[in-house]
Amino acid sequence: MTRLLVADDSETIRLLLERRLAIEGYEVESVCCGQDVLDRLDGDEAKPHPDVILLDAMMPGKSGLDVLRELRDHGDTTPVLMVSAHRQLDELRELGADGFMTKPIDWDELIAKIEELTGAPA
Amino acid sequence: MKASLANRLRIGLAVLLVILGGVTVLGVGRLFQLRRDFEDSTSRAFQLQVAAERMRSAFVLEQASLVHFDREPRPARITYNSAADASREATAAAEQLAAHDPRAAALLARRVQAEVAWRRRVARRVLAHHAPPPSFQRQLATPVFDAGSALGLYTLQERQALRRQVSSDSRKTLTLVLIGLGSAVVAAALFFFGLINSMREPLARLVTAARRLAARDLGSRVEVSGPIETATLGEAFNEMASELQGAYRRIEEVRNQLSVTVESLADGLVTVDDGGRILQLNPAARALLPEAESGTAIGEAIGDPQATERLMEVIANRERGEMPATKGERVLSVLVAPLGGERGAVLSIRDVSERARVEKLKDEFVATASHELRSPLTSVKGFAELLMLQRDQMTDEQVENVEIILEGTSHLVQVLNNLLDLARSDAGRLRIAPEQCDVAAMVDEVVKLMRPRIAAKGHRLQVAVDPDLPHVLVEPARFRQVLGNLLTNANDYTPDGGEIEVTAMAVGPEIEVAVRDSGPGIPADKLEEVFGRFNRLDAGETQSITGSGLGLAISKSLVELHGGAIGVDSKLGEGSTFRFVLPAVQAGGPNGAGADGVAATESVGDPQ
Repeated sequence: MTRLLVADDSETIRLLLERRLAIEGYEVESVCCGQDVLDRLDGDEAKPHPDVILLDAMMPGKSGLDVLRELRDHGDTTPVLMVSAHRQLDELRELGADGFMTKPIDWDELIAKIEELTGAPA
Repeated sequence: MKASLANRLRIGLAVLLVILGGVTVLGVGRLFQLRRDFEDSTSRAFQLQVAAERMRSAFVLEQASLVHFDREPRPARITYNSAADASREATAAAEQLAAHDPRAAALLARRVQAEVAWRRRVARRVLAHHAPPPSFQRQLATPVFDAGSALGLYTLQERQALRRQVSSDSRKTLTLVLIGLGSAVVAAALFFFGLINSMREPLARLVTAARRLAARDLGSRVEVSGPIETATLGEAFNEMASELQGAYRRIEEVRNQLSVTVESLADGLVTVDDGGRILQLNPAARALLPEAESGTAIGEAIGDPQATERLMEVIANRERGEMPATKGERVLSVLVAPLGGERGAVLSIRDVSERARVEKLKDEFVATASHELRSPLTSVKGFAELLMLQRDQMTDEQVENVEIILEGTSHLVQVLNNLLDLARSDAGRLRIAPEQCDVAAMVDEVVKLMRPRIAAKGHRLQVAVDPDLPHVLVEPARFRQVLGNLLTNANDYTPDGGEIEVTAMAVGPEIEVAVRDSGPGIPADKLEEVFGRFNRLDAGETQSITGSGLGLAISKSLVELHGGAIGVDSKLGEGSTFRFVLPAVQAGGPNGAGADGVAATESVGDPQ
C-alpha cells in the first residue's frame, strides 16, 4: 500500500485529504506544519518512510518551499507534490519538486500524479 | 494748412522758371533796344556827315563857278545857281537832321552864317558887277570850310561816343541780367534747403521715436508735423505703436495667466534644454525635486543618472512619451512633451507613489484573498465530492443539492483563477511555460471536456481541424483555457438547439483557431467592449449566463502573452465568430501523434 505524508496547516484540509485519499486506497499520515515533516522524517526509524509527500506550499513557520529545500539539501529524494494556491512552476522545479497541484484539488489529477511517482496504483 | 512736399517742389520750380525766363526776356529786350537806338543814332550821324559833305561840294562848286564869271557870265551863272540850289537843299536836309542835336545845330548854324556872310560879300558882288572875285574871297571862304570840318568832326566824335555809350549800356544790362539770374538761383537754393529742413526735423523725431519703441518704450509716440508726407508717416507710426502696445499688453496678459496657471499647478512642470538640463521649474516641481536648480541635469535632480538618458531618448523621438522614474521612496510619472527642434522639452512630473502603493495593495489583496478563499473552497468542494461518492445512500433531492453546491464552487474557483490571472497580467507577472504543442490534440481535449455540456443544450457541434497544421509554441493549459472560454461562451449564449463550429487552420505563418456560433450575435457598438472586464452581454431573458465576465479579458491577455491576437466578427441575428491566431513553429517536426481532430462532423448526441 502506498504511504502518503500530508502537511497542511488547515485541519479541515488535512481531514479532507485523509478521508478522500483513504477512500482511494492510500495509507495517509498528516502533520500540521513544515517542522513536523522534517521531524517525522528525521526521527523514528520504526515508522516507515512515506512514498510520496504532499506539501502545502504556504504554511506558517516553515513553508512547503522551505521544507522542500531542506529535504533536498539533506539528500532526501522522497517524491514531493507541492500543493499551492499559486503557480510558481519554475521555482518549484528548481527546488526539486516532482509535481504541482493547485487548490481546489482535482482528485483524478492528484491520483494520476501519485501513481506516476510511485509507478504503481494505490 | 499743410502742403505736400511734392506740391511745394512743383511750385518752387515753376516760380524759379518764371523768374529765370522773365529776367532773360527783359535782358534780351533791353539789349535789342540798345542796339536799335545805337543804329538809329549812328545812322543820323552818318546822314548829317553826308549832308555836310554835300554842302561842302555845293559850296566848292559855287566858288568855282564864280572864278570865270567875268569871262563867261552865262554858264557861270547857271552853274552858280545850280550849286546854290544844291547848297540850300543840303543845308535844309542837314538842319532837319540836326534839329534834335543842339550842338550839331549850333555848328551847322555857324557854317550857314559863314556861308551867308560869304555870299553877301563875295557872290552878290560878283554877280551884280560881273567882276572877278575879289582877292579876299579865299579868306571869307575859310570860315565856311572850318565850320564844315567842325561839323564833320563832331559827327565822327558823336558816332564814337554812341559806340562807347552802347557798349557801356550793354555791359550794364548783362550785369543786371546776371545779377537777376544769380539771385533767382540763390533764392531757389534757399527754398529747397528750407524744404529739406522742413523734412529733416520730423524725420529725426520719427527716428528717435522708432528707436525708443525698439527699446521697448511702447508709449513712444511722435509729434505729427512737417509736409503731408512726414505727417502721414508720423500718423502711421503712431498707429503702429498703438497696435504694438495693444498686442504687447494682450501677450502680457496671456503670459501672466499662463504663469499663474503654471505656478499654481499641482503637477510639477519643468522645462529642459535639448541636453536634459533644467531651465525652469514651477513650485510643485521644486517641492518634488528639492535638489533641482536651473542648470542641473534632470538625472541629477531625480537622483537617477539614467533618467537623463531616458529623457534624451524620448526627446530624440520627438513624440510625447512617459518616462517612469523613482526618487528615493517615491514613484514619479514623468510626461515628456518635446518642443521640437533643438528646444528641449516640457516635463510634467506627478508623484504617483500613492497610486503605485494602491496598485501594490490591490495586487496583494487579490493574491491574499484568492489564497484565503482557496482553503475553504477546497474544503467545500472536497467534502461535497466525498458526499457524492456516497450518492447511492442519498435521496435524489440530496444528490441534486450537493450537485448545486459543486456547481457553485467550480464557478467560484473559475472566478478566483481569472481574477488572479488578471491581477498578475496587470502587474506584468503573468507567466507562461510554452512548449511545442499539437493544435489538433489540444482542440480535441477541450471538445471532449465540453461535449457533455454542449449536448445538454442540444447544440450541433462541428469540428474541422486541418490535419497538417504545424505546431504552436504555447502552454497547453492556457491554450485549453482560451479555447474553453470561447466554447463555453458559444455554448452558453446560443439558444438551445443551435450550431457551434470549431475550426483550426494555417493562415500564412500563423495558426487560426475559430469558434463560430449561431447565437444572437453582438451589436456593432458592443464589439469593442467584449474583451473588457465584467462586460457580460445580455443573452436574452431565457438564458442564464453564469460566467465571471472575465473570460474574454483573460483570454485576450493570454493570447497576447503568447505573441498572438484575438478578435471577433459578429452581426446581430447572424451569430458570432471568435478567432485567435498564434505564431506557428516554423520548420517544426512532424505532426505529433497523427491528427486526432481530422475534419469531423458529428452529432454531439452520439455515444462515444
